[in-house]
Amino acid sequence: MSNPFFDNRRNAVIYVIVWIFIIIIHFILISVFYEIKIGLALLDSIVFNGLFAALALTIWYPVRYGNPNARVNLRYLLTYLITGLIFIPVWMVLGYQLLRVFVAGNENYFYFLNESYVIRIATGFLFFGLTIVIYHLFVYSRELQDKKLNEARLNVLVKESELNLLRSQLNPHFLFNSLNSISSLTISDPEMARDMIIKLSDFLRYALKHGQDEKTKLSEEIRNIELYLEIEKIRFGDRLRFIKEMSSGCETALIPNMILQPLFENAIKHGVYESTEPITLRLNCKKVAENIEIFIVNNFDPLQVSRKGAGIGLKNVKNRMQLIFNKPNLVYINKQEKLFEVKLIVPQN
Amino acid sequence: MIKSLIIEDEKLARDLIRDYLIEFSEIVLAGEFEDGFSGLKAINELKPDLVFLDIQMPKLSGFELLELLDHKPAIIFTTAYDQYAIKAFEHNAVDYLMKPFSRDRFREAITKAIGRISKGDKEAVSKLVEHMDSAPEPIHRIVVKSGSKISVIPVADVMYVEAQDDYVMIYTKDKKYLKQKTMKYFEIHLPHNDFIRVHRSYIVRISEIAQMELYEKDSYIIILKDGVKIPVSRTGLPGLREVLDF
Repeated sequence: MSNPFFDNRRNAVIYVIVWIFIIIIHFILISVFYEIKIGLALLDSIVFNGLFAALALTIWYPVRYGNPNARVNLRYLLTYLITGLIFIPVWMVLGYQLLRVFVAGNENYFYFLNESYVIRIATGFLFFGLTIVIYHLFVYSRELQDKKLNEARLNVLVKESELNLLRSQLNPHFLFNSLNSISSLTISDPEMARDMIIKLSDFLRYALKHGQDEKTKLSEEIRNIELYLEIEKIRFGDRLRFIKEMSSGCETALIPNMILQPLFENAIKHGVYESTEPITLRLNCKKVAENIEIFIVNNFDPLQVSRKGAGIGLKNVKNRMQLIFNKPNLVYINKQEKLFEVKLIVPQN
Repeated sequence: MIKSLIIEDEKLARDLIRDYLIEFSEIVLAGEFEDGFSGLKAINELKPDLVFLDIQMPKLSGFELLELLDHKPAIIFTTAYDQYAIKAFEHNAVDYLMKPFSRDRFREAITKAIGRISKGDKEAVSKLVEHMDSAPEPIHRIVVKSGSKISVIPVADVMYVEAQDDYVMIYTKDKKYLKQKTMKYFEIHLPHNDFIRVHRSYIVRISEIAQMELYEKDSYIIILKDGVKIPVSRTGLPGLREVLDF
């Protein structure tokens, strides 16, 4: 996060205008009340205030990096005070030295300058404090924006994954191939054909009914996945196997809606579609402290060369998990020679 | 007698075609195959007149299989959904069946195929391949046949491509492969973010470029990370400057 007065033209213009205003007031005050000559008064005002304006830009960094959340407590107030105790003398000395270079030998003026240091230091601290307050306000407003943006992003992702789920459940390949299987079964095994129609219907019904709630019971999500796998099993027969191991406490655990479906789809797409050997999908769930850990493992043909770049589905899952739980590293991917493993950590509090 | 093959990875889909075929006494089913590799081998060995070919299959897709065929039979594609492929079918004389398909639709396809076989029309498949080649879809793998060996090269492994008469030589880290395709084809299909054509005869993976040198007055060469030197043509230079930001 860069200095707010730098990264935006409008802010920079306001900053400059405010300081020009201050320079004018300072100039009027000392030329009217202290009867300093116009040229000198202007120089005095420009040197001290211009210097302050330039130096004050650096105050941003202790605020941003020393106190990133812009908290107000004794510790930070003390830090700011110490910063001020360094800042103000540096500013005063620099200003004094500059003026000595510009107006050498004007004893009257230097008398005035020496007399006025108390009020200068007081205004310096006032400006210093104001600058810090303004920087704090910037940090707050940016945080608020970030938070809003985050929420919006989450919404988009959820919508997208709802859409993707719908599309994958209505995944044309899946749907039409399943219908073709049914068509074939009506000749060879009408009983089985009816069975498959019912499974396909249940599966589609699940897709249509849900979507509003953010989280759902793991057992419910798994029931739907089993439907999906059973349909795929009718298509692929022995090429697809599914093993599930759930330890106690997992069934009732809550997980984000539709978070598992894309992972299973991936496993099918890169495992079963691309291999002539049997592919085993394994689902494990266990409770670890406050979380549940879900493992989805599939073997794959190590000789296969993926037709399409993989990873979009996985990336979506990662993003959603991070946004919903506001924690990084909830999804781990482990690709070995013949095994692909996804680990999902779902916080339960 | 018409000799036919089914190449399709789902058993139930094969069952259906077999059942639909029963009424056609003039068509003999010479074999059924579950993936692209074994299907390809079977076509080249058994030389069927007619093939029912699925598109999405393990190991080798229906289209990749087409590229590698020596013997070109009449082909009826079967596919569930493939917008892009269907467009290609519509412009070409090859017939296709959209799953699930009816017995009537199947009969229609067979009648067409028989007509084509009796006329000895062998052009349909080549035309289709040509058409697919001109569509700007990026590829993720390249299939190459050398003798009886088929290699599937991930595009991610390709370092550069060099023109050699009617062929191109594809170079990976430790191997090279000859494929009968044009430079134009690779220029269109290799991902544009990763590859650049620097010369009439060369397309190079951008991330493999280690340095660029002035070779003679006005002419440059690039040196790849493993030391290979590749000439840059005058027309290739502006594009190269742009991606290398130099």
